[in-house]
Amino acid sequence: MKITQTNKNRMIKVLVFFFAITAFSSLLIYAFSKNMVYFYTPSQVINKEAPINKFIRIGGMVKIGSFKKLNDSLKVSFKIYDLNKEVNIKYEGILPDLFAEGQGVVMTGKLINENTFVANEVLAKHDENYMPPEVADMMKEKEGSIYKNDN
Amino acid sequence: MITEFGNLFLSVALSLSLCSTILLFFKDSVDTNIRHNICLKFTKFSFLLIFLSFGLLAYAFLIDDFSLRYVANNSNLTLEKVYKFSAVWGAHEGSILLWVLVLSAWAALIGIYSTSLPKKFVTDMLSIMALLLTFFLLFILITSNPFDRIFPVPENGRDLNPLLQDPGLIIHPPLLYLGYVGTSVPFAFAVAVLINKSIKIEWISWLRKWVISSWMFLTVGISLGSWWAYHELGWGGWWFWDPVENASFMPWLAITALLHSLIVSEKRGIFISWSILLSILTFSLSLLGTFLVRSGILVSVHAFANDPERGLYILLFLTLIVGLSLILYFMNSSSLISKKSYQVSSKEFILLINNLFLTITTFAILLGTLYPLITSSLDLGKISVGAPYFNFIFSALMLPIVFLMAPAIYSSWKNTDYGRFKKLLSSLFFYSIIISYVFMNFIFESDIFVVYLAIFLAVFTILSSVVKLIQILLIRRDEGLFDKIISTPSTLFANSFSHVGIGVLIIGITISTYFSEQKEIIMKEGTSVVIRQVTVKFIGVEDKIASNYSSQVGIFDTFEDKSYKLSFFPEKRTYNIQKNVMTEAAISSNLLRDIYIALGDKFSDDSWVVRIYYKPFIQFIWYGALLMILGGIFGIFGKEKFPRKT
Repeated sequence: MKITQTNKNRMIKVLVFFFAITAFSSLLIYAFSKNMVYFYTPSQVINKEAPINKFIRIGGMVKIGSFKKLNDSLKVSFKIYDLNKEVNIKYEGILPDLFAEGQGVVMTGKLINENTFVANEVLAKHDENYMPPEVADMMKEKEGSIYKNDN
Repeated sequence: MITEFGNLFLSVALSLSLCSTILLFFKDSVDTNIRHNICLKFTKFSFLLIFLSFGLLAYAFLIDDFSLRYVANNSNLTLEKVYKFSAVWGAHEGSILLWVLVLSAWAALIGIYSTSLPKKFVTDMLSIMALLLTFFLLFILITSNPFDRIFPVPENGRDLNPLLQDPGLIIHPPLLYLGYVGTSVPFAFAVAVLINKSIKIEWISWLRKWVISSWMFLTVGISLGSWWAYHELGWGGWWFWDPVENASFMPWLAITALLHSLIVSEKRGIFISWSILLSILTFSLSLLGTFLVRSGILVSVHAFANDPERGLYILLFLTLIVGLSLILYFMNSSSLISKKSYQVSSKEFILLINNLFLTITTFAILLGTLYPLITSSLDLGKISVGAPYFNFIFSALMLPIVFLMAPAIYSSWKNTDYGRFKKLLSSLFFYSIIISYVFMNFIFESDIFVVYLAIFLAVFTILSSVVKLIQILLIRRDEGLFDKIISTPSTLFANSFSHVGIGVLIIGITISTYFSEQKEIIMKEGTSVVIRQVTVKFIGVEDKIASNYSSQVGIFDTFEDKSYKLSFFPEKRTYNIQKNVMTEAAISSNLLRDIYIALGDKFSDDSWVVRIYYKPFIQFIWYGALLMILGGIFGIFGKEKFPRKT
């Protein structure tokens, strides 16, 4: 009797752990594969490296003079660029406080064609020297230009 | 002079800490009393010195001494006094100094309040705390010295980041750090146990109080941070699964697990080895958080500087500390493993599952936080793991944890009397279903299954905690209510308050997430909009000038049933120095709902973009946190507070 009780005890423990781990791993894989979002630069978009109609992130600097409000709505459009490539952006909603032409932005959304991106979310950074790190990296690599956050 | 004295104090503190650390290697040759004496004095004196240097830095801010680079970069003549003070920890260097100050304070406190422990053991702990101090002081002096000068001395400073100019942010970092750095206490304890290969149950009771303190401060810090985000970021959100938030949330989950496993270790003498490992992991997660936040590899309000040297230093230290303590653990922990077994029908088994799921949850969040960093540093592409991942996996893993709270409360150590347990729980289960169903179906008219499930779990937890408390209070009929409350072990209150807090928190999260209403619209002056029976009328916008910013203030009147209720004044501020624009939302809160109005951009001559939220029950989130904090206070100041030998 004693032995069976101990065995039963042990079996339940093993089962609980086994169940927890399996359930967890499947949850994790499922959630992970559904929610991974890749980042692309305007150059990669223009070079057709980015998928169309799939959730992606994209970042660059807002082109000066490209910002337009569409009449009587919250719809806006502008262009972002990295080195010399540009992508058109469409967005409907309130822009972050620090959004401005010449500033760095990172957006989440979908490409509707090879050079038009519809953003669901626009992030700008609270620092006038800010450039999205991905963009800064690339500019540094290609131009040798020095971006420095001297804080 | 400030520079010289600041550096001097820090250097002396460094040498004292180094000496205390080195003494650990002479633990067998030096007499314990002498060693204890030296370490304790050095620890206290280091604290004093670091405190003084911190005071000096604060003084430099208050007198606008812009010859210090750090002051020049983070303050301004026009900055309000209180923000000049909080600017001390407003950026990287000062916040690391605060880190060190808090660390040395914890070290001094455990030195003083540890008379119930053997001197030898306390001395070892102090030496380990001194080792941590040594590293961080070196870090400050080498890479992040707030006392560095700038030349030529600027006339005026660059001002504090406007986002940080908020009352909530004055106390958020110190409180969060108290909790964050407080995890060094269980770490020092664990390493001391592993070095000595022995542990006594009384020591665990001692440690538990410290772990609860750290847990409580962490809870306060995290909830303040989220409260701040809700008020200051202007998006109406309160938790974003931002890597920086995760950095503080992972240690919280780990220390919550530790809290529960220590209860088992103390009551039953099992899971000791696991508690020790968890102590090490919790502190490692704190260090990892510091690394993530301070190294600049993440982009956020908290990442002050992109200086690879700093990140590298913390990363090295992290690897060293985690590596060494894990090696020590695997070499020496076998002596801590108990031969005692436990039944699946016992409280310890439920707490084991709690620990299992909390650890898994921590791991899932760790994975989601680190994975993008790893792929980007290995050039495998820039990836981000969005909030949906965290929301989904966190809720899924919290389900079993919350569901087990009620059974955990009513189960007994060793073996639960199944008959009684089943009778009580099934009636609680039944009532919870009815209450949550009535509540959600008739008041909120919900048809979402997840909402019913979450509210049921919350009610089940709250009901069972409260009923348990009433049961205990009713047992002794002869005493007065006051005597009963006084004589009830405070751990029971701690348990009930924090679990009720979790329930209240879940109610707040669920209802505010699923039943909020929001409008983002263009409003002309003089027009109105209706949101949930509340009419919001836009009166106009006025200009306002303050000492270091100018702002545009929107004026909104609200009406309910055609009678005037109250006015809102959301602002759009432009800070003079950094030219940053900040949204100050206007929020009216009561128990049942928040109305939240934020002013967007000017759209045309007389119309503005306006964002209006109606968020039911959102305040429950912070009431829940408050209850958990109260629970923590009961736990710390319980009857066996810092037991001493008499």
